[in-house]
Amino acid sequence: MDRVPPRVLSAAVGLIVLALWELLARTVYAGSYRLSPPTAVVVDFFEFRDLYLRNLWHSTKTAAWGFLWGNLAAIALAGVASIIPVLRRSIGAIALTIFCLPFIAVAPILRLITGPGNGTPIALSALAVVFTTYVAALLGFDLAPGSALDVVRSYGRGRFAAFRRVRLRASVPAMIAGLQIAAPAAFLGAVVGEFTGARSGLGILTVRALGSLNTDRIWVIALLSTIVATGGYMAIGALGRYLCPWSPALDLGAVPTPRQEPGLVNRLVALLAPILVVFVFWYAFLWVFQIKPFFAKTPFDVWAELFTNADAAETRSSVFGALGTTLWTTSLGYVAGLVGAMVTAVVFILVPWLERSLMPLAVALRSIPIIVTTPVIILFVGRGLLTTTAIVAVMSFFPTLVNCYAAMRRTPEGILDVLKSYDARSVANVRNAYLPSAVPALLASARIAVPTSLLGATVAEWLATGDGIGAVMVIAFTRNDYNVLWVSVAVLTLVAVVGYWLVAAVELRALERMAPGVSR
Amino acid sequence: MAPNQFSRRRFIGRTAAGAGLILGGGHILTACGDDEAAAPATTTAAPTTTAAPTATAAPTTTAAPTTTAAPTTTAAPELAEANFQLSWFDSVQFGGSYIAHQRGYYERFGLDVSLVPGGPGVSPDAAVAADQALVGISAANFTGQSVADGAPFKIVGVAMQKNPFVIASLSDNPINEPKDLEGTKLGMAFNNQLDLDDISKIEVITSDYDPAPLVNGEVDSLLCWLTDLPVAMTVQGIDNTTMLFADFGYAVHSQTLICTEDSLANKRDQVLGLLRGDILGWQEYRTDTDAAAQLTVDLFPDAGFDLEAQKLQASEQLKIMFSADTDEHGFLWFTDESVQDNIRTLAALGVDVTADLWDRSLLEEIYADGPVLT
Repeated sequence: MDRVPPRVLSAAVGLIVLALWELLARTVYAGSYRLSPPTAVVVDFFEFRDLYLRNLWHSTKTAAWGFLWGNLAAIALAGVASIIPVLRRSIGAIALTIFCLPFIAVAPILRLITGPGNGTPIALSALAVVFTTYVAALLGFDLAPGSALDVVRSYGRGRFAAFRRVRLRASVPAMIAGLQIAAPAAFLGAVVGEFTGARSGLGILTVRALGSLNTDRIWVIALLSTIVATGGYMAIGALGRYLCPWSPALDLGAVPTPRQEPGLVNRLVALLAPILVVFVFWYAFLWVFQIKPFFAKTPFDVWAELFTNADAAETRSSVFGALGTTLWTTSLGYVAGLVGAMVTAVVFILVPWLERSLMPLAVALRSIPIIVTTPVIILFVGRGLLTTTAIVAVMSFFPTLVNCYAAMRRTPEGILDVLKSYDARSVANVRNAYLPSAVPALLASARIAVPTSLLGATVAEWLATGDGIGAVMVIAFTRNDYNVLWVSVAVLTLVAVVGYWLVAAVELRALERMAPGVSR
Repeated sequence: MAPNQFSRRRFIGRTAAGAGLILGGGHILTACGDDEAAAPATTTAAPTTTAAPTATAAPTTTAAPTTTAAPTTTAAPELAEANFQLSWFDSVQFGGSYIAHQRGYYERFGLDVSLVPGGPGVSPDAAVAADQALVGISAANFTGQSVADGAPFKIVGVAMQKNPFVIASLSDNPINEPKDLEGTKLGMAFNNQLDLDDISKIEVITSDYDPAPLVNGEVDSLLCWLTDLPVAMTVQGIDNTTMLFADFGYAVHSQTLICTEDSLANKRDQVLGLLRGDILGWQEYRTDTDAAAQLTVDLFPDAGFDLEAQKLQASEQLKIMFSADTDEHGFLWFTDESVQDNIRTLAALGVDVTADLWDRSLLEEIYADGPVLT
């Protein structure tokens, strides 16, 4: 089978999947209002083409504005962090905190600031891209060739000149890789934002379709969203290849952490400064937007609600109980997604024709917006704790698979040659060469997957299961219980940040042992 | 694992209205076999004498108000801008307000009203409290809770005299009264928690707000609005039965118009004007619900509405929006008895309110000359 051209294989697999799908929809799931046959999806799209295109255009436009503002902000932040290294840790902490904020609770709070209109969707969409682009841009600035920087320095020019003349240009490949990830994220932010009251958009159309038993419509929207998100991803990739044809696809694996300065005082400062900055940011946010005390809660309010108020015990038990549920289901899905991705990557290495036929699908599914896939996942696993787990697993599976497989492919030929000379079997190759090569990529994916898994979990809890902290947040918001809402946001964000740093610490340790050259 | 760690008592406060806010959006409805008698027949006795300009002609989006009632949009120099925060995404649920907007009834009273759609991420109470809307559409249980938490609201009008929540079931396995629920599976969106007596005899399944679990037999009934999921099923040709909570003692005013005490004192004319314009719109709505449905479909092409579903929703909605009380006193009216009933129901739900939550002075002023506004 290795001789069959990849395109033919992909096409054949695709056709088989479509045929099976059609068959299932017309037999087992007929009349279930869950699975639409592909033919019906196509027919429905053309019947209501203008409707779909108008709503698609609306969501895409919103996402594009958010993409623009979010990325500009991220690149500016990275620029400041690059020129003034002392600020790096604090800026990084703010960007990470934004990344870890639970969308579904932030959306209604933003709505209170921006008022009705398209402000909230655009803001949410912008927030969704800040961190990943920040990391990518900073990595790009850092990757600037030392020799060129030396030249600038030898002319007696400062950091700013070095930034403008060398770092900015050198960062393009990394920046492109970051923008690729940002495209689907911006789309997701826009769709969630629509739930704060819009008149057009695919998110609203989905909710309407669910309530009116319009199954075909749900599937059309899921496919359209996938196409747009994937299309954005690929278009930016193509732009990157056009701008920098010399540059290989970049691995965004590096940990954005400066090396730890020795000494207890330095360590304490390094630890406390970002926390302090986040609190300052919190107050500044409330002050700048002049949010009424009924809605605006300070860190002290959150503390009081958790520990000193009359109903603190009740708040604690509801928030932490729900958090336990969320963490349990999320970590199951998280681990399942990572392990599944590694196993699949190994299978792809061992069975190349399978890789060639399925990998394009995996690349596409990596950028599916979760909101529109949730109904599809409910179809297969029902509603319950398993739904959250499945959604989290899907969310972490595809990016990890793509990254790990790419890393395995980069296994140095020399190592494989040595193994070959020992007549090693493929199992030994996997153990001794491919798996170790993939460890950095696995850990990098695992780190990014911490906040995205929690995001996926809360969205699933909101849309499908009604369990966990996602449900607590929505209920708190519905009943205008802003104390519990802010407590939940703070606790969940803290958990995501801590989880992120734990994986980052493991990653740093592993890289120091396995690939000393990579860690900075 | 416990379905919800959130405290029971807090939950209950959210009960029914949760659906309208979060996933359910109140919308359509379907024929419910029982208790027609309890619902004061409304549709037939529509008072057509009112200001409604030719209700038969479907108001198209372009058409300017045609009749004598034409507002003086051109002449009116200073219109006050006001946001009216709806409780859910657009649909004929707000048909009367669309008519008022379309025909310039708000302008007639000096207001340039923006109808702001809601959604799962919008709390109308919060929008009103944050001064983003002059008037919002909420429900007595939400507003009662907000007021208990210190928000300065008043309910100044009640659009849904009867609470829209129902238990919907398939007609070949009908739930006609609460005791039919025993031993069955009830699907409810998690944020529509419901406090039923003997709930232990019912298996509650969390679902998204979607009729599919009922149609597929995963549950025996659904908690939903009379005017949304049942209508969707009827339009799809699925025979269904609904049991209206309001017919079994669940008295919670819904689609209530709220404003802050501050607006009531300092922007009284604007609130009055908004109510007057709205009333004109709903009086016209009542005379021709099909036209209201058509207007809704025309106004919001991006929503992809099904006209038949909007028509059915529009007419079913009459059953809970108009009553003998509104015929006697006027649309949006609420009687002292219904306020007492609400206080009792809300107390049972764990929300303690007093009659101060309601303020009828605006309506009394509006209807000083009789129950029909002209």
